Parts: sequence; C-alpha cells; structure tokens
Amino acid sequence: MDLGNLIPFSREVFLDFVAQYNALLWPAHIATLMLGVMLIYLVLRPSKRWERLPALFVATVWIGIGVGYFGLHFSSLNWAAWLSAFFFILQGALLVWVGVVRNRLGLEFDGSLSGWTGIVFLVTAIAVYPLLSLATGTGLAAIPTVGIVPGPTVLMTWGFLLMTAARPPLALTLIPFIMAFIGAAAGWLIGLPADLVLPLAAIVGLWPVLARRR
Amino acid sequence: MRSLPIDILDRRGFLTSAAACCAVAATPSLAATPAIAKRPIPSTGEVVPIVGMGSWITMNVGDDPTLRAARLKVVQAFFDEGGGMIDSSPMYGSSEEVIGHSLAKIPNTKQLFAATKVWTLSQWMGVRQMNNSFDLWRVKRFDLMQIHNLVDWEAHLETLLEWKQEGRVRYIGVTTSHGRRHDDLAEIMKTRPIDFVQFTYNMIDREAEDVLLPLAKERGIAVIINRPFQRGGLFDEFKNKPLPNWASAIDCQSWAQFFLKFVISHPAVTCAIPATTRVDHLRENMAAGRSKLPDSDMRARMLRYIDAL
Repeated sequence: MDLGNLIPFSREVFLDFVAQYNALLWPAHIATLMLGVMLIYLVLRPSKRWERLPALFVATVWIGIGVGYFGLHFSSLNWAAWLSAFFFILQGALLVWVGVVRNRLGLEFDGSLSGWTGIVFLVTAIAVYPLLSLATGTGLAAIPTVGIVPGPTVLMTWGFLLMTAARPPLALTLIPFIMAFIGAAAGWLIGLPADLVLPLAAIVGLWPVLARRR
Repeated sequence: MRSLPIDILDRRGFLTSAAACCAVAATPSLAATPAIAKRPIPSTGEVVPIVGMGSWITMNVGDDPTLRAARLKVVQAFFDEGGGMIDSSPMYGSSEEVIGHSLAKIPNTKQLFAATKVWTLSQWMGVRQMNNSFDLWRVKRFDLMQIHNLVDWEAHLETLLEWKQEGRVRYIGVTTSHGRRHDDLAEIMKTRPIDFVQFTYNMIDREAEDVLLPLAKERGIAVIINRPFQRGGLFDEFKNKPLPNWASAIDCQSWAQFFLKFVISHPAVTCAIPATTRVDHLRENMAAGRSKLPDSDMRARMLRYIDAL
C-alpha cells in the first residue's frame, strides 16, 4: 500500500494549519504547559487529595484534541482525521473511566527505570520535542505544544502511564501505541523528522509498562 | 556568477534550470503562441485540451487566505493558458472547496471541464457526497463524475446513469490509482457504458500500455492520465541527468515537458492532469500541449534514453 495515498496535504499546508490552530487556542498553551509541569510535580510529591487530577488532565487533552484538533479543524484537510478524532475521544473516555471514576491512575515515583523513563518522556513532551521541531524547521508559529496538538500529547501520555503507582490496564496503551506510529509515518512522509521520537517512545515505553507488577 | 544553493530550489526548479543549460532547445515565438492541442471524447466527439490540471495535495490548502490566493493565481493561469479540465475528489481534503473558491473569482472559466469523483461506501452516501461536491465547486452541472478507485462502483454507477439522463452530469467515468485493480477496471470498460477512465501512466509506470490503453481505444472510452510525473518521482529519478540534445526536435525545453509529451502523445490518451502549486510550472506544462508531440518512433527513442540513464 502506498502510504502517500493517505496524506493529501503538503508540509507547508500542515505547518500553516498548526500555526492557525495555535493562534486560535493561544494562550491555552501556557495552561497546558503548566499542567504538564504539574504532572512532574505530582509524581515527585504525590498527594492523596489530587490523586485523580493527572488522569483528568490527560483525559481532557485527549478529548480536546479529538474534538477540536481532529474533528473540527484537521478534518477539512484530511478525511482520515475523523478516525483519529474517534480514537482520541475513546482514549480520553478510557482515561476518565480508569483514572477518574475508578481512581486507578494515581502517580508515584519509585526511582525505578520505569519512573525515570516516564520523567524523561514528560520533559521531552514539554520541552525537547518542541525544540526538536523548531530545530528541524517547524517555525515558532507552528510549534507543537503538549496538550494542544497530538504529537507531544501522545509522548506525555507514555510518560504518564510509566509513572502510575499501579500498572495501568493494557487497553490504555493501545491507542497511544498506534497513534505514535501513525503520527511518525505521517510526519516522515511530509518531512517532519521530529515525529520519529513518537514510535521510539512507544517502543521504549511499552516494555516497562508491561513488565511492571500490578 | 554566484551559483544558487541547491536547497533553495525545488527538485523541478533544479531540473528546469539544468535542462535549460543542457538542452539545445528552440524557443517558441511568444508572439505566435499556438492553441493547446485538443483531443476528442470518443463517446460524443466533443474536444478537450490535452493538458488539464489535477488537484491532489496542491489544492488542499484549507481556508488559509494567503495559500488560497496563491492557488487562485494557478487556476487563473490555467485558464489563461487555454486549460479546460480540472480534476478533483472528496478524498483530497479541501481541494474541491478551494477550486470552487477560485472559480468564483475568475471571469474566464468558459472552457472549464469540471471533473470530480465519488468516493464513499453506499449509494446513499454517494448521492450525499456528490451533492456536496456541487456546492463546493459552485457548479450546477459536472462535466464528468468519476467513481474513485472503484469504491462501491456498482451502486454509484446506477446513480450516475440516472443523473446523466437528467443532465446533472455529462459524462461518467471510473478511476484507479497506480497498479491497483487494473483487471477490475478492464472488466468495467468491457461491460459498462462509461465515457471516461482515469489511471496512472508515465515513463516509468507503463503497465497501462498492456491492456487499459488499447482497450480504451477499442471501446471508444476517453482516457485521463494521473501522475504523469509519478508524483514528482521522475524528477527525483532523473535529477542531474541531461536532457538529450534531440529533445529540441519535439520542442522540449525541460524534463517536465519531456515526461508530459511522452504521456499525451499516446494515441489513446485524451488528457493528462499534472498538479502544481506554481504558475511557472503550470505554464511549462501547458506549453507541452501546444507544441510538437513525439511520433511512435520518437516515443520509443525517449524510452530508450530514459532506460539507459
């Protein structure tokens, strides 16, 4: 199958779209970045009171990206955006169910390899990935911000899943795993090499998630 | 003279420059610009310009006003150059909407041959999608409605035959992408009353020469060729290779014209639809249709040259 058949837009148009979307949502970026930093704080200083908050935040941005980014905007450029919208909303709903309703996704930093990997992923999602994108020509207007656009959000989610006190249900890893590869394939086809970080994170992150004791 | 850094030229721009240096090409007189060649649609005898315009990726620019203005210039240049057929699909994101936006702003669209596609499962969804295309293009009638990649083709063909009777569409066609379902398409060509087929044909992808092109000729079906440059792959492939000196004998001034003339000179081809975002490339494409085309001996020579590179 020719993957090129699935990407009906150019790099120029995609970056222009992200720039427009960024402008539309600004200054929400500040809030999502602060919430991303809050995830790191909550994993280092766990609090019973705020136990459900990380899952609520991660769920909210998945649903927000599903509805806003894919459903309302990106679908005008790419018919396949509807599928992504569905999966992002589904992932958000799963996170709400497991993390908020059932309270099974509280954070805890135990100094293990898994925990450190999670921290690295979070920092990468918040800072490294956007800087990498800038360095590879994305431009400031189209900078990918965690919680706003899919790439860094998928990366942040891998970090989140690696830092939960108990092993998360495997169902929660499926969509981030698939989306990491789809995002990277699309990015590669239109010339966005920073997206190759995504499948790398999915592969590196999956094993610690699977290997952890429940 | 300071040389331009390669990275500020796109691949086609590079090839054009290289070809201009290498080819001993006759410059056509601008004062006596001949009209673009036209080919008849076998089912009616109506003629269409031999070079049209595709819209895959190039017209999918969303609602960005700057990019829309740039595409408007391309569409305007297309009609200024005597173009007719513009081809799109609901699969191409916002392309239909952008084309409709451009057409509404251009006064000289009398030659427009509006061609789009239906690309969805079920007859009901197809009707809905095609009705939406009328709105997006802002036209009352499509010259050509094609079933994209044979998706649910039997259901859509039923609708299209009715619509043709009613005058909502003038011609009906079926398309396929490179190398996919050629056998199925051939079967439809043999058994169904279609006016057009669309498939891939270029100097590298020549499978269509075996069955589809001869069959179209035999059955009196018009042929639209997509990907005449193999989606830019031909430019990549022959980057840094010289255009042959004898290309001037068929008025080729660039690789783009070399590739395009090969495609449109096939006797079964009605129209090729290269896509571009640039006015200069569009003019170069259109020029290929208004100058000398290779005969069968020259076509064979062109292939030998390409194969030897």
